[in-house]
Amino acid sequence: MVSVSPVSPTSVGIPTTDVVALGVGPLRNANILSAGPVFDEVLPDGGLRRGSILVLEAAHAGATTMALSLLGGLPEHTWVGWLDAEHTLSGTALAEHGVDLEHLLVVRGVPSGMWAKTVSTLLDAMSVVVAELAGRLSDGDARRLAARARERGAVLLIMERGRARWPVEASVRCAVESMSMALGVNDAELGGYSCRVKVSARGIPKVLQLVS
Amino acid sequence: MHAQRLGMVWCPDWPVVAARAARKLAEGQPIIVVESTRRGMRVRAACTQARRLGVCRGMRRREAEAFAPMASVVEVNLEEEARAFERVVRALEHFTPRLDYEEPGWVGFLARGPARYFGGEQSLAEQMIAAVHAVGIPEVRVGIAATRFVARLAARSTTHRPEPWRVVDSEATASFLAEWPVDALEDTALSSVFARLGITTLGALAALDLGDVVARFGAAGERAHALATGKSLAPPHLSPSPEELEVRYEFEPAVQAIEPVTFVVKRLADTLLDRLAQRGCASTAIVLHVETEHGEVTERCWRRDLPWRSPDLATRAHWQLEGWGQATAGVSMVRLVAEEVVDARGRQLMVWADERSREQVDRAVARLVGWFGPDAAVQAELQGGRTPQEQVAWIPYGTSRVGARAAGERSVSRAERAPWPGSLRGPAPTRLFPTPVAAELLSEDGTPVQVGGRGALRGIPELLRSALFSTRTEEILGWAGPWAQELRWWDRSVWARQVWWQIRVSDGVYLVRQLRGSAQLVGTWD
Repeated sequence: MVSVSPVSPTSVGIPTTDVVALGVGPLRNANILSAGPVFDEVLPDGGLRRGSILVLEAAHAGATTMALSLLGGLPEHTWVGWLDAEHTLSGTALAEHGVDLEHLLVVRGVPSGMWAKTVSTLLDAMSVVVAELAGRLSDGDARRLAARARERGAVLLIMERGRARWPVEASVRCAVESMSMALGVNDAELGGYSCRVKVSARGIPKVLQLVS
Repeated sequence: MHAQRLGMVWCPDWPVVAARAARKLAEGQPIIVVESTRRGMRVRAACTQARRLGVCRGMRRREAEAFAPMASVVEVNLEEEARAFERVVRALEHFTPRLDYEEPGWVGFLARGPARYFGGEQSLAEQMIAAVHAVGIPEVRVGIAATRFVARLAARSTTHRPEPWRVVDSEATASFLAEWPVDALEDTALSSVFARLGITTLGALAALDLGDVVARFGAAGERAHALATGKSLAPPHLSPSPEELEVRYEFEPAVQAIEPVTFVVKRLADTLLDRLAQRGCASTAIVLHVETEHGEVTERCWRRDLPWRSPDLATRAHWQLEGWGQATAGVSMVRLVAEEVVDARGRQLMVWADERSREQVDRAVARLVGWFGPDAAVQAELQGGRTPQEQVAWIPYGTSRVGARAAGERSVSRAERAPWPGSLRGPAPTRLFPTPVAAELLSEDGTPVQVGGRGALRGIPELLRSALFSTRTEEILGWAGPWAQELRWWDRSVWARQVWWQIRVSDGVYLVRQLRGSAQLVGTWD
């Protein structure tokens, strides 16, 4: 790591020049997939490491917003698969966050018994897979998926819904600590949000702010 | 729309015929044509006598010589074959102006029009054969059927029949194909796998479910299945505009030699195919047009089942120019036109470090669709609309979006630049319930909140009640709105007012809609 001094917790709005040079400059490693300047600054390898697993969690709300912001920062033409377990993903929100819709495959109507098999199929074909985890998952299935992701060089984003938990270790854990919405500020528009996200990997956790 | 009819003219053992003519060998003299491959010199073609002695295609030269010691063994010369074939082509140009070429020995044509003019398909075939005989080629066969592949097989099947032509009716395609071995696909790798799986005939392959074949063999499997069921391959895909389909180069000064022209053709083909690849397309038929300073023209449509690649086209250009051989001046202009454009499925489109090939995605989707049904794997497409539900269409993956590639960006940016009048603005909810959840929006005294004609509120929202909340009734912590939309205001009988609220309760922020007196939770910001 170069001299980015992580003051913990810091509120990060605009990336510093150091980080830009590190993140999107010629030093970029082919094994690292950029997730946009805001995330690259706080992620441990300066981006999403291929073959790794990130867990996205939220105390109340904000997990979807966080996932959309991550996907919106990916390079163009990156194939993304999204297992929409609850069949509720909003296409308008995807477009607003700048997700490449031509390269996004959304899978729905998956029974819980087929969850692991579906995620594994998506890992075969996609560069990034977002999997909403709604039910219980055995340690064995989780390890098998982790191995699959590593073997295929795909990034697996596990979105924990309700009480479901990813049972084994993950490379990075992103937790939305709070999401607030400014309602009624502007009469003509719906209120915007701001999320406070804690990113923990090895070392000291970092904090970032997502704003609509 | 009329179903297509395609014909194929075939001169069997063309390499042998061409070599015999070029070397002026006597008719009775056995001949074997060999070519150098990665595995040494192998037999490319042999005359009937040599074949009777046991020589077959792909055999080693030494072996072939042992079987037929008296035969003359000659090395292949593709230009010579192409040049000799020119005679046959000239004879056939009399019947139809539009001939398709792939390799010397085979010419294809669209049969419907000429068949009408020359008194039926059978009569057309007979007259074509007579015309080719007239230029001194004794062996020629014609097949006419619904697709190129079937026509080709029909022509080949005449070797076991008394008459040198065969017409396969469109209705009889399936029964005609059923008995052929899978080798007829001319995809050695695939057909050997099929054979090992016990799928030995095209009929057996056609009986399999397309989804299963694609899941296991990808684009190659899809192609094989289409051929075996007598379907035309990838229907023309017409998104690129005509000027994108054409490239040209003018020589200044004109050139006499063939090599510079073929070199330019290769570069032009690179440009043209790259341009198509960026649109996710490829071409299976390319017209090569060459002009001299004196205005002499040669134009050929080169067609094959697989998309063209530029080195192959350069070879075809060489053949075409070799066979032409009557120009009185140097070449001044070359033009390439993509006559038929197809989806470039199964090919890597761009060399992005992160571009997974479409074929991998196709396979994954084929498996998912097999498990969960066709609506399980979808893609989002933006469209116009006033509400978050209306603004996106979910369409099954792979469903052809007509002109989507060409027009897609335009429509997206238009949707972004010009919001629909009366649409909700600001960040959209990230989750939309598939069916809105019934709710009640209540004021302090427990009566429903109402919104008047000019947006006037009757009651202040205090409580939100819905089965979605574990507590049933939630106290409203903050709200924004209301925003009113008139629905179908042009028709008094169905007119309605729809009112939108953004409401925060303890477990999140919801998008609430009021319509005809009842409230619903439509989505949430998660």
